[in-house]
Formats: sequence, C-alpha cells, structure tokens
Amino acid sequence: MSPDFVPSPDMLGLPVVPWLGRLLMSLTLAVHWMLIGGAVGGTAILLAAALRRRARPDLANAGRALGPPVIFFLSMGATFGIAPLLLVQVLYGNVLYSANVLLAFWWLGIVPLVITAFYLLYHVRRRSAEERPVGAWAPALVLVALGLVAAILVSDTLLSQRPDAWAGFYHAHGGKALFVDDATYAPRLAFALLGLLAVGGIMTAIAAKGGLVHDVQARPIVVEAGLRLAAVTSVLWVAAGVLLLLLVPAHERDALLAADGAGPWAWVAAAALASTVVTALVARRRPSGARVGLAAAACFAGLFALAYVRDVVRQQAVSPYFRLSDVPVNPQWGPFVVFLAMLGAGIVALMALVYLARAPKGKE
Amino acid sequence: MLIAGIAIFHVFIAQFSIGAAFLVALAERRAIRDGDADTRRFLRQYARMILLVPYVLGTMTGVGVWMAISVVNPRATSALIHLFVWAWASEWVLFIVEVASIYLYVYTWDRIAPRAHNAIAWIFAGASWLTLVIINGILSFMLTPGAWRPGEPGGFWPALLNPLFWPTTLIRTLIALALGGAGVMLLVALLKDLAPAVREKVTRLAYRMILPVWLCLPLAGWAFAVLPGRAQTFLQGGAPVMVVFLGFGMATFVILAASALVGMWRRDYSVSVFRAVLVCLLAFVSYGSFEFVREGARKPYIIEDFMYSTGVTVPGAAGVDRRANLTRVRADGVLAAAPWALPPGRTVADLDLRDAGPPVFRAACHACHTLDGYNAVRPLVRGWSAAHARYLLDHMNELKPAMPPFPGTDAEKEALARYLADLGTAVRIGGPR
Repeated sequence: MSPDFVPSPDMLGLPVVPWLGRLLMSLTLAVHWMLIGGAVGGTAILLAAALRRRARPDLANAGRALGPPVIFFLSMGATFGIAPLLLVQVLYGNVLYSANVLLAFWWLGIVPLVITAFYLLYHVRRRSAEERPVGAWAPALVLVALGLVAAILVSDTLLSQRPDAWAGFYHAHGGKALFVDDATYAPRLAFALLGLLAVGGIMTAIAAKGGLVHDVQARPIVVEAGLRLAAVTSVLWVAAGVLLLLLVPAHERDALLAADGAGPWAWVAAAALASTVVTALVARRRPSGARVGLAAAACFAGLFALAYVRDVVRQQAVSPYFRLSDVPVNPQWGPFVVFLAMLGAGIVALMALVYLARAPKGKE
Repeated sequence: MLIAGIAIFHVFIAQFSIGAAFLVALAERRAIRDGDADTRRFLRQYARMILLVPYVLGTMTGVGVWMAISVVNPRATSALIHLFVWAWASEWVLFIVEVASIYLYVYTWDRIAPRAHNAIAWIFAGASWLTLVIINGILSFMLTPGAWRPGEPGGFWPALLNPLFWPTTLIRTLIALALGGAGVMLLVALLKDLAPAVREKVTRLAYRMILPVWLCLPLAGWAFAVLPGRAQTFLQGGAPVMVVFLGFGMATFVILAASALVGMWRRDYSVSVFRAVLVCLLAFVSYGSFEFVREGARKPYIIEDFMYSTGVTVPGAAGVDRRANLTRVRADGVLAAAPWALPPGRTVADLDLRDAGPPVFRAACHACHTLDGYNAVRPLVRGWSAAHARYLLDHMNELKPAMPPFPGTDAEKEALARYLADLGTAVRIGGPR
C-alpha cells in the first residue's frame, strides 16, 4: 500500500499538544464506557427481570425502578461519547474519516440504532410506571441495538488502523459491509461486550447505592443483581482479554508485554481489571457502599489504562503511514483556558442542579 | 442531500427545544408566582414532551450531522474540528449540563420546592441557548471567515466572532423563540380539555414569543451587509432560487409577527388546530429559508475563500495545504490526490483518456453530484458533445458562479469531458444507464 493512499494529517496542524489530547481522549473515553456500560448492564438486568418475572417477582419489581437510571446512563453515555469522538478526529482524523467513508452505511446507522434504544427504554419505563408487565422483547432489542453499535465501532476502529485493507475493502463492498476480515475482530467485540456488561453491573449497583433508584425497597435487589452480573462477566471479560492477547499479531503482543511503550499501561490495565474482578466478587458477598465504590474505582482505572493502551496500539498500527509526533502543533492555549473555565462553570452548574434537586418540597 | 436532511431536521428540532425551554421556564415562574396549579400541570406535560421528542431526537441527530459530514466532506470537517476543537469541547460541557438539567426537571416535578424546580428550568434554557451561540459561531464562520487566515496563530477568536456571528446569533435566537411559541400553541390547540385560563395564559405567552420575530428583518439586512460580494450578488438576483427563498423567509417573518400581533390585539386565545399548524408551518418555512439561503450563499465554497465544496483548497492556501490545493492538483492531477477513485489494481499512469473519465468524476464531482440520484449529472449533460463539455469545464466557475473551478490537469479535464459527453449520448439514444 502506498502511503499516498492515506490522507495527510490536517493542514491546520494539531490545536493541542499530543500528550494532552491523548490524556483527555483516554479520560473521557473511560467515562463514556462506564456510562454506556451502565446502560447495557442495566438493560441486561431489565431483561433478566422480564424473563424471570414469575420465578423472581422481587427482581421484576426492582426492575420497574431501574428504567429512569438506565435511560439517564444512555443519555449521559452518548453525551460523554462526543468528547473522545472530537479528540480522536483531532489526533487521527485522517485515518478515522477513511474508515467512516468505507463503512458509511453502518457508520450512519449508529444514530437510528441509538434512537431506537432510547425509545424502547422509554417504552419499558412507561410500562413499569403504569405497573404493567414488561415484555422481554423490548430490553432484548435494546441490547441488540447497542450491541450492533459496539460491532460498528469495533469495526470502524479496526479498519482505521488497517490502511493496508482499505483498497480491497472499498472495491469489494463500497460502504455496505462491516469490516470483519481481521482475525481479532470477534475477540475484540467479545471483549468490548463483556466489558460493557461487567462495567454495567457495577454501575447499576452504584446507581442503586447512590439513590438514583427511587424505590428504596428495590435498591438492595438491584445492587445484588448488578454485582452478580459484574462478578460473572468480569471473569469472562478478563478471559476474553487473554484470548485477544493471544490472537493479536506477534509484534503487537510483544509491544503489549514490553517494558516500554504500551507495555506498562497494559500491565496497569490488567492489574486494574483483575482488581475489578476481585472487588466485584468481594462486594457481591458483602455489598457495602465502600466495596461497591472500590469496585467502580478499580474498574475506572482499568478502563482508563485500556483506553490509553488502545491509543498506543493505534499509533503503532498507523506508524508506517504517519506519526503523530511529525504533525505540526499550533496549540490554542487561549481557547483551551476558556474551555477549562467553561468546564469549571459546568461543574458548578451541575453542583447547583444537585443542590436544587434536593430542595425539600415545602422549602421556598 | 443526506447532510441537508439530517441537518435541517436537527437544527429545526434543536431550535424548537431552545425556545420551548425558555417558554417553560417563563411560564412556570409566572404560574408559581400566581399559585396556578393548572398551568403547572400543563407545563409538566409539555416538559415531558420536550424530553421525549425534541430532546432525544435533537441530541442524537446532532451527533448524526457530525457523522454525516465526516463521510460526505471529511476535509472540511477536519479543518473545522482542528480550528474549533475547544469551542466544540465547551459546547460538550453545556450538553452535559443540558442532559442533567432536563432529566432533573422532568423527574423532580412536585418532588422539590417549586422555585428550585424553576431554577433548574432556567439552567436548562441557559445552557441550551449557549450551545446555539457556539454552533452559530462555527456555521457563520463558514460563510464569513473575517480576519481569520489559515495557518496564522491566534485565528480562533476572529474565526468564531466573525462578521456574521452577531446578526445570525440574534436571528437564530428569535427564530428559536418563535418555534417554541408555535410548538406550544399547537399543543394547546390539540388538548381539548385544557382549562380556558391555562389556554389563555399559555397562548398569550406564545404570542409574545413569536412577535419579536419581525426583528429578523433588520437583522437580515445587517447580515446581508457583511456577506461576501459574491453571496450578495446571489441574493440580488444572481441565484433566482435563493432570491425566492429569501423572499419566503422575509414574508413569513412578517406574517408570523402580524398573526401574533392580531391575536394579542383581538385577545384571541382559542386557537384552532388548523391555525396552530399553519403557524408551525410558517415558523418552519422561515427557519428553513434562512438555512437554505445560508447554505446556498456559501457556494462554491464550503469555507469561504479557503476550501471549495469539493474539498480542494483555494490557490491562496497553497502554503498550508500540500495535498489538495488547487494549484497543486492542477499540476499533479486530482487522481494523484485521490488514489481511492482509481479502478482496482490500476495506477494513474495505466489509464487512457476513456478509462480516466469515471475516476475523475468520482474524485472531482462526486462530493456534490451523483450520476442518476441526487443532483444527478446525467440529465444535465443530455446532448452535450465532448467539445461543449470541455468548454464548460474550462469556464465552469465563470459560467456558474456556484460551481468551483475544475480541480485537475488538462488531460483529466479532457477525460471528464469525454465521459460527460458519453453520459449525455447514452441518454439521448436511450442507451444503458
């Protein structure tokens, strides 16, 4: 493949120093994964509640209270996805756009899929609010829709790192197929989906512990269901990670196990994910707020390290075509400071919202 | 077409959502002051509708616009992202505040103190309006980049606060308020069992939100004054379709404001469904005309005086663009900058004049034209000879000011001319499409 085939980095240069862009991208991506995990895990519990409503009426009742937090997680997760999407375009737009064009049909399908998931969840919430039985089909379809979104994003990310496959893929499919012609596609997708379920179990437990589930009686049942989901799927998640490591090309595996580059971050991610499994198992036996919080913290650390590893692996994959270090940097410090000020104001506004939302009804 | 479809839907619904947020905040404040439980009950219903329809659809189609532009015009998307990354990042912070506030607003009705609840509505409205301000800065930049020069440091502020920024921020704000007013008027008309007092209060407020839309007329004059000369020529008769849309927009501003004024003067607060639908349609036409004129006035550029709609940059940007600058692609060929357009396994050197036509079409024309679908080329070239096509390609941007200059070598131009003539002939003799 001629390097000419790969578009040049943007002519205006990088508006942010690369380390800062990569840090912010990894950080916001980890938060995005946590929140979307909350939506996926919460929906899985809704599905379990619908399927076992005769055998577990307590779970079915608890499921009724879970609709609003799951919708909130999906909203916030989609919103938090904007930041890493913005930063990945800044850092790797040239390869990302090529993958988007090559997967155009699927890439554009993400929006209707997420809208469908939203409205199905609102349907579930409405049925729950009216105390009518919730059919399993709605949460099942939400999981299918969000699973498809994950399949598209894994395919897009993988294709953006495989310029060698672009020409053949374009002429063979012209934007109408997913890129699955890579031995690591299926394990990557399995790793992503199991991760979302594991994270989601913990996030659901956090939501119940933190009062996002309004029904007080439902809270311990939701916590129990969330931690059970997390305990099972986090073990499978780690297993899928090991399988993925075995299937990636040897040079990538060596890089992941090395003492420099992605290596240390990969070890941090592995350690944090192992801690997630342990803390989720411990929390499941004695689900105190501190233990659930610890599991969430370990999980976030693991996701942050994973996001960073993912970025280092991407850099290595595209290095024959372009290097981030070669792209001119024209940092926009003034606008960045304004962004920080806006972020500060946003945090103040969120704190004000929390304060206002706790104002007792009788108090004026 | 794809971008236009998603963008029109998104901006319409997003602007409606902003107007509706202000309406709810204002109406709730008054209802709390007057101890009006009926109006608050109605507003609760309206807020839930805002969350379910414009908010969910507006948020997701907003992301959809981004996804679509990255597919249709990646170079322009990339340039805008690299210039305005911190503006978009700031907007993202506002999105988070919006999401949190609309959910809290809807789910805390009657659970918290009314004044605290109303404060949440104002935070939601304020954050929504600020997103409009930021996005408008980016959109208006595409038409009037002002003092911004590519590659020069410190270009962010002159780009964001470009000459069109203030008039279009005000126009969009007024249209958003009018859309919010029109939307609530329709809901009031549809709810047959609404208490007359609530109907009156809400309709009066809707009139007051629609009335200021007449101010768009002088603001449009301000906007016109800062447009590039080429765009002004379009609107002064150079582009008849745009003149018609401009006229539509201006007329609907007047009709909307006049209908609100008459309604207020006659104290007519029982609006029929037909009239409410008409007001909504007028608000949509006024907004749609504004967007159509803005998009059309930009042609042949996607970013004025910097990048053509084809993604090729103007000769003056040769210093920053070393890939697809007009001077460069005219020397090296558009196919050299777009190797993906070549048939499998072929190189530029392999192609003769006949083979080169389709790839040149893909590389140079496909951003805006298809063969038989949207903005189809085949009907346009019906009966053309190769010489005629060549003449038009030689003088494309002079004969049609909305078209960019042909980006390629002489040989590529000749190949495209022959290809277009073949397409035209195939139509004339009823040959295969």
